[in-house]
Amino acid sequence: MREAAARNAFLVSLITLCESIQVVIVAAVVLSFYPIILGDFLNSILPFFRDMVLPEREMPLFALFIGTNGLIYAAWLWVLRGRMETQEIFEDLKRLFLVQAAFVFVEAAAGFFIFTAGNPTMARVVLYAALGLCAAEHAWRAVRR
Amino acid sequence: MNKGVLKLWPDAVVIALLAAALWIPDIGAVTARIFMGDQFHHFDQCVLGPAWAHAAGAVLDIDVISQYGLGMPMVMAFFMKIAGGIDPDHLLTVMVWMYIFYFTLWYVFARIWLKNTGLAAGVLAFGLLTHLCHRNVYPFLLTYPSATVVRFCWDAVFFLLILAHVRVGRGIFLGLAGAMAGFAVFYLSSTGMCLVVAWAFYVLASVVLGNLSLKSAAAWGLGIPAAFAVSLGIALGHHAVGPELQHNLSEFNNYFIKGFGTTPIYESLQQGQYYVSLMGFFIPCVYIVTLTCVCGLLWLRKINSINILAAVLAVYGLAMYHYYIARSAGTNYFTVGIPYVLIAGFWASKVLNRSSAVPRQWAAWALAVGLAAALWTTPNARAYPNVLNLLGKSVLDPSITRPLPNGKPYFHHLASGNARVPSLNSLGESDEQLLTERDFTSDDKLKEFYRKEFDLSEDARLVAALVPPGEKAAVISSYDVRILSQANRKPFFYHYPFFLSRPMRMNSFAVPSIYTVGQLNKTLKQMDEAKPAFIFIEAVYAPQNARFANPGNGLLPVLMYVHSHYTPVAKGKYLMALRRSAP
Repeated sequence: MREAAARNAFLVSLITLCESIQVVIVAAVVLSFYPIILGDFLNSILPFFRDMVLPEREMPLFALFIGTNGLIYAAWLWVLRGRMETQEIFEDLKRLFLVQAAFVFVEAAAGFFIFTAGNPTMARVVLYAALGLCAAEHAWRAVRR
Repeated sequence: MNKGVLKLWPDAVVIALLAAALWIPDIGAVTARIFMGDQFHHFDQCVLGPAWAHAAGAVLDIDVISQYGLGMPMVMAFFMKIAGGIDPDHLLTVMVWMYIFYFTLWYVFARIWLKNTGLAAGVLAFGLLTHLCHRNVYPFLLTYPSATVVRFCWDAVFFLLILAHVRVGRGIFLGLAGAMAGFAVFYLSSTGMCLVVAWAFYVLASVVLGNLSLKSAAAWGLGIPAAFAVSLGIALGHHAVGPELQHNLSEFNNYFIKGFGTTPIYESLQQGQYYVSLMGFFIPCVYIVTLTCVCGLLWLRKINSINILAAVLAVYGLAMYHYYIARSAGTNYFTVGIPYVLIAGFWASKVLNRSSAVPRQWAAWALAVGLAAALWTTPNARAYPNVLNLLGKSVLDPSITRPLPNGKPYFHHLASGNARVPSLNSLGESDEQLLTERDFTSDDKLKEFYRKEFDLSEDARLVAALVPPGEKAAVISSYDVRILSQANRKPFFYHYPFFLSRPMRMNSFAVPSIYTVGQLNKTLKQMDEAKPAFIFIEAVYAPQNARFANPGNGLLPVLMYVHSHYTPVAKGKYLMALRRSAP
């Protein structure tokens, strides 16, 4: 029973990881449409060092990643309350993890080409399609439940 | 001899091997190599500059900036004085000893926590491999104090105290851990805050799990602000409560938050460093999976409370990882990678614990030997100037001082590309003596050259003759830290060290470590308000050369101010002394 709980908890952690990665990707995509406004800050830096100013949103996205993980995991524990020690949910969790991992893999591959191949249109299309499919999959699961 | 002592012999062997792997037998030669490589740029900016300022009586972050925490330079100055003095040789010696103690403490932690000698030895080897011998560190980690144990040395003590609390349950350990975290905030605020977060998480989790009452958690928690306030009060006195300190402490953090000095996380991908990039993404995933999984199982009461340490390590790791998130260079994730190493050991123990005792021990030792072999065959481990690697070799051997990845020599690599001034250097010569590794036939020749070049006693005598003891000396030089320590005088400028170092014999201008218009104005205002009687400046910055200064950095306005208010009156070796002539 202890073994089953450990396996289930580990799988739920992995599923949570995949889901929170996707939340971060969605947030990063949305934020990419809103450029960071520096205001007067750039003028306060001496010209010699201005190319060292590379404003980014990675800190808040990292915080979002950690926070989302906590929330999603807590939600999973609530959804699976009383069943975490059972064998029967293991196969369902495994299947769900594989689906989520496949989505993350496709999105990461698209992200790889966006950053290394000059943001090609095809990579963006694949990324948006994967995110859309993932959202549809979540919606379908919710309706079925 | 009793059996208990005999049982400890494998631990003694592991620690002896660790000490042998980390000990540098010829500190002088390695220091000389660092001098030739970056002219102590990283030593000075991180530790030696503020450490000397503190030792000379300046108040850190009030009189002189300390970019890496308030307490760190004070603690390092204390240890360097014990070792023999505030200079690069003793800084390197102190760092080596810190590493030996630091990894020994983590070994003790892993040994008690994981209850397996082989696995603890494996964790140690993996720690050295991940942190100290990382492939992106060039030529070896101790060249860059800000990326070393100097940054986060108190975490090993902190986690030993938390381990003691988990095992024994006595509140005093929790209080001491809190005090350690509070002191760590004073030592270096960013890493200290990570320990505070780890402490708070541990206490919160213990309260939720019913292992600790809220009342005692709150009582022991007072240790954090108490330790911080006491350290700050002792170190800074009445300055500790002024708004100036608060402003100065937050200055660099604010630049960071606004994007100055940050690096995008995809940069390593764009540079083709795919392994580095992958690890940069993988490590926080390990932290988060460990945190959620362990917390879930603790909540469900399916594992015992000793496992909470993995979650606390994960929280600490995530907090520390903000450093890499902000500055996502390939040379940065290993800096904050120690919690990852311990968590890898935790998961390895979970896998090994599925087998019975004897195979578990064998498998753990096999893992340790495998990791030690991986460590031994890593180029950076082979280049570490320890006893074994230096056996019959010089530090100049190409396997120890490897050329840069682009094939260029390591010596003078930061400065050799600088634009030259169409004039002679500060000595009135055209020979810059930018020697490379190939120009030295032995370590003794290297050390002799270093001692000669780094002896600035002639300039120090000039400074000491014109500035009375106890007063601040305004020195504008790449080697201001050395000159002031040899002259035994306080630094005048708040932004000190004044320059990003370059060799003194070069006929090029160094770049001041003044990054903003505000910092430049502060420097000019300092000279205008305090009106120091003398300013000491390298002769290459003579009035006739001032027009060659880059208008984009802060040097030109500083030179214009100096030459319009001061006139040369005396000459040392590299420096000229200028007396104030204008009101």
